Amino acid sequence: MSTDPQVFISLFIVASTAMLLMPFYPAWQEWRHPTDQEALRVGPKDADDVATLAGAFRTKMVMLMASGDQATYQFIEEVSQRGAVANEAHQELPVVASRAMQTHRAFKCAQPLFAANDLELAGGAMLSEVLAEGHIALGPHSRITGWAHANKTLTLGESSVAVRQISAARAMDLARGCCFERVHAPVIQFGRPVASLARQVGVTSSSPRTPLDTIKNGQPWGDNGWRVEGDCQIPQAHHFTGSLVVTGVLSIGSDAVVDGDIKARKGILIGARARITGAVFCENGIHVFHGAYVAGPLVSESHLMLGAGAWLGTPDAPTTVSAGVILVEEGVVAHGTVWASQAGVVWGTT
Amino acid sequence: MYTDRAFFFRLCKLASCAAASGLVLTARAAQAAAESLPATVTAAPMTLFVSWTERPLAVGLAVVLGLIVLVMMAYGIRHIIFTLSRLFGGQRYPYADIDTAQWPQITVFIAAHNEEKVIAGCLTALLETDYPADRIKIVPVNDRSGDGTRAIIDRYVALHPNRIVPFHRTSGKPGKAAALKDALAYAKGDIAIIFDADYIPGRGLLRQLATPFFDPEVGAVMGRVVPINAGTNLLTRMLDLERSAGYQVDQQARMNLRAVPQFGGTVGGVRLSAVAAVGGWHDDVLAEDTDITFRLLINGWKTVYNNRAECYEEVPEEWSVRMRQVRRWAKGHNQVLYRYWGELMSSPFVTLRERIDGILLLQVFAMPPLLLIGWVLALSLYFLNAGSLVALFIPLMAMVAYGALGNFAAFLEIVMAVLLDGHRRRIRLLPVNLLCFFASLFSISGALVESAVDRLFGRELVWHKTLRYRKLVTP
Repeated sequence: MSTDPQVFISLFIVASTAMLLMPFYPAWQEWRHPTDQEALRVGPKDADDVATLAGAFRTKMVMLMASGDQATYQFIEEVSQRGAVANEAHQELPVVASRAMQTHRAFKCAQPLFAANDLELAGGAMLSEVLAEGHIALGPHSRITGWAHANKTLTLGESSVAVRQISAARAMDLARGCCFERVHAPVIQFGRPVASLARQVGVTSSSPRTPLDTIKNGQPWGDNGWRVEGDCQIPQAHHFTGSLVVTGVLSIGSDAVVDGDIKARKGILIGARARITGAVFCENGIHVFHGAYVAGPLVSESHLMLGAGAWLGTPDAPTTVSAGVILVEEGVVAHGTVWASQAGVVWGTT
Repeated sequence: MYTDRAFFFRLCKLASCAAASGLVLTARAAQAAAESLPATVTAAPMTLFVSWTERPLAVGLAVVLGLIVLVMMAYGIRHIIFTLSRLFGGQRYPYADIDTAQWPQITVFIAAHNEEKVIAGCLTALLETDYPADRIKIVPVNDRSGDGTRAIIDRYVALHPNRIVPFHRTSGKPGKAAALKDALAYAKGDIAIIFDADYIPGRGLLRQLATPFFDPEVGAVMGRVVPINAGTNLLTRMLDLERSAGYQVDQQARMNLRAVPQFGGTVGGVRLSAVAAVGGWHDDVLAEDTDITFRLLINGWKTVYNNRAECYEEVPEEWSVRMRQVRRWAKGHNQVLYRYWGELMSSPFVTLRERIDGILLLQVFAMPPLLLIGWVLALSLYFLNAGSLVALFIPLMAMVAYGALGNFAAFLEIVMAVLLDGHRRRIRLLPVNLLCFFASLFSISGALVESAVDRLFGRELVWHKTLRYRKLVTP
């Protein structure tokens, strides 16, 4: 059989050209007959926010209850008697507690729960989504798998877990051992209040500090700020005014005051009873020791440890605390939002 | 003004003319070179290790080509790293969780020059944002408009006298940078958020752009730009793909990797004290956004990117407008490269990673001309019978072809960006993106030549406004 090289060359050229042009066929089709040309949808960013979810749920429940059609929802008493295992007809129906509700045994509910008044459930409760117009109080070892919002206060018993977002319009208490992701309230109390430390904060905040006019190894930077290449230390009971950027570890001594925003790359230690009136940012871990106060946003890209009696934001000026992992000792009080993207835990005083 | 088809045919014609001319010239040069060589040398078989003394021209050209290949390969690798970071790396944006705070005073500037078609939409959207009304001042910067822009702005001011403070500029240096420089005097607070008039900010956008400024190291912030007229024609669809890659993958990856996210001059903001600390707003540049990004970087300030701070914009619907835009970007970018590459390399505040990414970013618009030179060199070596000299580069060239063809927004980045956005079917248009690439290649190369000529003759750079397509809206 004779093999003419011209044939192979021609075949090669044809095959190469075909391979090259092949992707242009669907491209041509898409150009001439578009199937996907809409602009990217820029939606609201708060669609999964607890306030939005709670608002939508409230509207839905008010409409259902106003319609008078009791086949569109179920009462909590029925669910309580039936137990967590619902039959098919009840699987999708929201649950309503039309008056103040108190249970003495573990209550489990896989459907969204709307409480028109207070809701007090015994330990071991398991809920998916909860909205209460009054208080919510859950006993120890309870679990909220979705979101929860109380129009007054929300209390979680010891070792409870809130997997997603919980919020309260007035105040929130998370007992020791609680795990959380995102909590929001004007006042958030973690564990039992530490009265002695609170008193200490009050005493030391008015004690005199030595003004700190220059930062060791630092250079003036920006508008009333300093920049330090390497580690930096604000000595104990000193007062520094201005923003501070540190490429190493920043240590703020106990009873020191920083009037400004601070940032460090490798870590921040905020000493006992120290006060920061601005924001705190760190690309690594932050350790806030007992009784310290941070007024502005407190953000760590890694982990955050909040010592007993630490105080974050004020009722008049709420703030955000955010980190991958947040470990909170008892007695910490935050005003605003505490957001642990991986896990947050309330643990005992060390 | 070209339609898609007219532009395509024109481009084909230009490309074929250029290729034919290049081939003829290269062949002539090669023939002349070959004739000048001794017979023994021309007849000698080429090897990979031919010496400099035997074939100095061929070896020299091969070395230059090799360097170009290596540079192009660096960009290819960069694109792959960015894409992998976006797909598998940790997604970094530490400011996203800040939803409760004492929001700082901000001033929103809207750059407007003959923007009667779009300015009302931007002002309406800004008035509807959820940023505390007492902490925001809106300053429309009406830069010598000759259309109805001023009247529209004044109508809004009459309706919202406490929230909008107009800046009608009737004289002075033309251009967005110069207008913004003058308008900054009207700022209240330390944070300036900047929009172009065709942008339509969403309800929560201002808060998203303001949060990074709680970080004292942040000098500028950049949000994501989304074409609102993506489906208008082939060009807008191509630009939509390019924008997706540029923001969804490229900018976010640079944020993830702690490299150099870039302030884009709109849908973003700057810290005014930082700008003042690095020498103020420059009005003698075509790319004031790139200029400020690099001056901030060199002086230790960070620019951060927020992929969720999305805002609609209009992209050019005509090729001529697009080409003019690309030329302006290229000239502006090269201007910044020329001014700051030395400082970028020597600044004590810049990390090694930022230095590498920064210099690669600065040279992006120098790559297309370099690629063209590479093509000419490759052809020259072929006609010089020195193909074997570049045999070593052949595996690298495969990669370069991949990286270079998608140089403006690498193909891999486009695919992943579009997938991340949830738009699977528009990926089918990807091969057509070659068109954009070739068009940009010649445009950018031309811009480089123009820049050199401008510099040589001391000509001032001229700002060209991008055409708007929206229908006229009145308040």
